[in-house]
Amino acid sequence: MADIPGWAPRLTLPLSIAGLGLSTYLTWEHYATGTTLSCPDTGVVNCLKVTTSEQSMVFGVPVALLGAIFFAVMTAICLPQVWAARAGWLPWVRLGGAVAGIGMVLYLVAVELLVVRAICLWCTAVHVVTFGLFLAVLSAFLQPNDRKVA
Amino acid sequence: MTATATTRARQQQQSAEQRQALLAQQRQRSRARRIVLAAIGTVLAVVATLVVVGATTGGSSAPVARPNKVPPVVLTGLTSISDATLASIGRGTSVNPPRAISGEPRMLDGKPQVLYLGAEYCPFCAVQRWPLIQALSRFGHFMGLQTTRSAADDVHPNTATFTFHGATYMSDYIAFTARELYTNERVGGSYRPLDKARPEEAALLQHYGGSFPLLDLGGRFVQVGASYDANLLRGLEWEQIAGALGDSKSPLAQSIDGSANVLTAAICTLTGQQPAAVCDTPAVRAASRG
Repeated sequence: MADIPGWAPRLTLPLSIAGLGLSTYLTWEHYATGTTLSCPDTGVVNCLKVTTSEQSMVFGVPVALLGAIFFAVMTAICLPQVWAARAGWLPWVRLGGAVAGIGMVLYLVAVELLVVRAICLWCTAVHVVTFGLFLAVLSAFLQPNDRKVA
Repeated sequence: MTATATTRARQQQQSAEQRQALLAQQRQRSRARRIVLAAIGTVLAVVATLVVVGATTGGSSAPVARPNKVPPVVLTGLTSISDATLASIGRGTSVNPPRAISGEPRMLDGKPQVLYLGAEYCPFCAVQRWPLIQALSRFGHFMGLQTTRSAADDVHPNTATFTFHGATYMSDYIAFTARELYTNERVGGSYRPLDKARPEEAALLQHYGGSFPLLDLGGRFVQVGASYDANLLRGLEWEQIAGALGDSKSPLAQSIDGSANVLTAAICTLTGQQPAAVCDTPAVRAASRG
């Protein structure tokens, strides 16, 4: 069994599952534009304005759906069994995913603040989860061997 | 003596190697900590920069719709739909009906109180005022209603609607209180405040998630959001919307008249099914059946 930080799966798996749940909800909300708001709409805070904006789609695919796919993949590669796997490329894939995730978050925050000019609380929750996941994966990647458990 | 010296030398060597290994691990740990802190700092710095730039550059000032007098043809089209048409529609295509809640009945001046909390900029309030005005007009009448539009820079922009701000409502059966908490005029990151909610009204709004519109029917039913698809009103003017409500086959009539029937049925439960001319009708009976 490969050396892994003991806390890594315990931290990254719940974060990935939380992100998956939030992204799935946002994907649903992206298509439910007709009748209700699901978060307070006070002008700046306006989920629907964000999730139905032009920028909520990338090449015709809702960003929320891309987020759900991202978190589904992260959930898979953050399972304890996968953390324990010996494949040397896995930590790099995990780190690459986390970096791509935080990069996308920064892009989306820029879009919210500078283009759409509204904040989606649910999206912010996803961003926080992604940030946490990024830090956890990065920390695990850099963890010295003496702190790792079999 | 020689063996002891050799052992001591070996121990010293091992100790030195352990120290070296420990130092290497400490360096590695320190490096990892620096990288993680740098990552945190970079992300927070980028977000902070975006917040500052977003706050200082401001948005484009979209044109603001000012309230205007409601054309009589609009009010007539909205409130004078035949019983036969309403009966054939029933609930129509309305969704998100008021849901029953438990608690103290909401009364004002001895009458069940209908409380509306919304905002002029809010697109779903714009949507929901159409059936609400139609339903309430069956129990009384409005004075001083004005037309306005939802915000130009929100979803479903510029939706043609009305404002309750400055309007009065008279009825022998129910009391109606409306608070338009904001105008449709953007000020910085929000909209210009308008009516002030009482503390208990603000608490009620928060209790149901803080979303507009919130409709409390006598403390017995509550509805958050709109009851039909906002896209139906896209690009339409007041006259076009009102003009379609008498045609039971029109999607607008199915939505707005259907929603008004559902609201009417809920209000009738507050008034003890009074007046009978409103509550004891095929339209309301059909809407009550769900």
